Amino acid sequence: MPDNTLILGLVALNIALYAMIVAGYIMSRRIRIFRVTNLREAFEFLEKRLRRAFPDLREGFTWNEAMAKIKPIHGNVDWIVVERVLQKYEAYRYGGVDPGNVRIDSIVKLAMMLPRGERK
Amino acid sequence: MIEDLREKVIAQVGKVVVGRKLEVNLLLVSLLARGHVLLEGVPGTSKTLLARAFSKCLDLSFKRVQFTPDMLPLDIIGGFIFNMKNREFEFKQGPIFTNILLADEINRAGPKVQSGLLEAMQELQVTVEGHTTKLPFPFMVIATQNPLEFEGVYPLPESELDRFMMRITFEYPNKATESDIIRRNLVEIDVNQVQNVIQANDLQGIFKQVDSVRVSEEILNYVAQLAEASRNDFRIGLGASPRAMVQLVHSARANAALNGRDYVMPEDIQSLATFVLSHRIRVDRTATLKGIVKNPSTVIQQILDVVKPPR
Repeated sequence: MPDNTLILGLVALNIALYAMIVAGYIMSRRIRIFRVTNLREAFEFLEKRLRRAFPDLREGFTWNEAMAKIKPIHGNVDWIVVERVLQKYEAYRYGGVDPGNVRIDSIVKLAMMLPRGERK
Repeated sequence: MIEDLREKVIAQVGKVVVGRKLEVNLLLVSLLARGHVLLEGVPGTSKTLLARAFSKCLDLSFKRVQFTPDMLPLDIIGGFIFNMKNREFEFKQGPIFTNILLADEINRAGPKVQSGLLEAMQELQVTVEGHTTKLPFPFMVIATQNPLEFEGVYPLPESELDRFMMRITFEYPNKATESDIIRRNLVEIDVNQVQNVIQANDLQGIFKQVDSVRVSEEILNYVAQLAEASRNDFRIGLGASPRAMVQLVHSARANAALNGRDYVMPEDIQSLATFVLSHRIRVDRTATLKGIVKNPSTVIQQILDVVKPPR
């Protein structure tokens, strides 16, 4: 008959292993998020999160439309900063204007605040 | 200067015409995009007054022609008249030689007169007996038309409809606006109270600003996708023409400039698409009979909903 201590030890090891796997998964997701290195990626990430948070959002949505959808549910966002970044992004995206130093983190934070919704 | 032009024009026209901000804005966009406009609506919805006030505040010459069934192209374009003094034929300019021509009830005139306008609208010149004369710049036709179900009207041919950059439908005003209109009309409305917001010479600079607005490759692709979608949609019998899409981009540039931008965004395209495309596309008869689609505007809106713009 196996020793009780051995069984308990194995169970503990099992739990530890599973915990590490779960932690690893969460970490990998976080790392993926913070791999956003430029403005374009930040908005791509926001788009991805928007689609999950608002499945009813039409395919042809524009950024201003999306912002109007987020605003009522997130009052604690610094919208002045977000709108300034959005303006610079649009000038860069459609007008080829160099965005310079912009606060990419404001867009990433905004994306992270969105409800997770269903992954498509 | 261009950024506040829209507000100034709306304010001045608003002195005599109540509750038509959107329509004034669209007129301004069309003018700056070098387009012509078709105003459609039942009589008495201030179409003529709006056109007059609009040209007055932009310091542009204005002429109005009431279209009738017995009209001839000569009545608009002009023609050669024999001068008894020097015994020569001289070209006498018609009312088309103006900055803004109000073609009132255009669909009351026959097809001959309507097609007489085609060259002027497209090439900004008129040719009579081989004699070509340029029209003043800017030149814009603001045509008004009664809904087609009215008696004694000739529907405009597709080729002419395609020359109009936008069709603006004048709906009846809401109750509050109507009260305001009646109140204001208790005393005679004088268009002279509309003041110039810009001199005609300064308008040249505004046109240059519009010309400098950039359109990215991705926006062009987006517009091409919209055109393709309009041609492949089973509910549409006749899709948007290449000219329609060119005019959509021109109007989007004017809209961008009026918003103080030197680049076009998908919003510019989306906000104007219905006004630029709805009179050019023909809804499929079967789709209409089956009740699948009510009017072109709803189909255009649905196309805008499903075609992904560059983000």
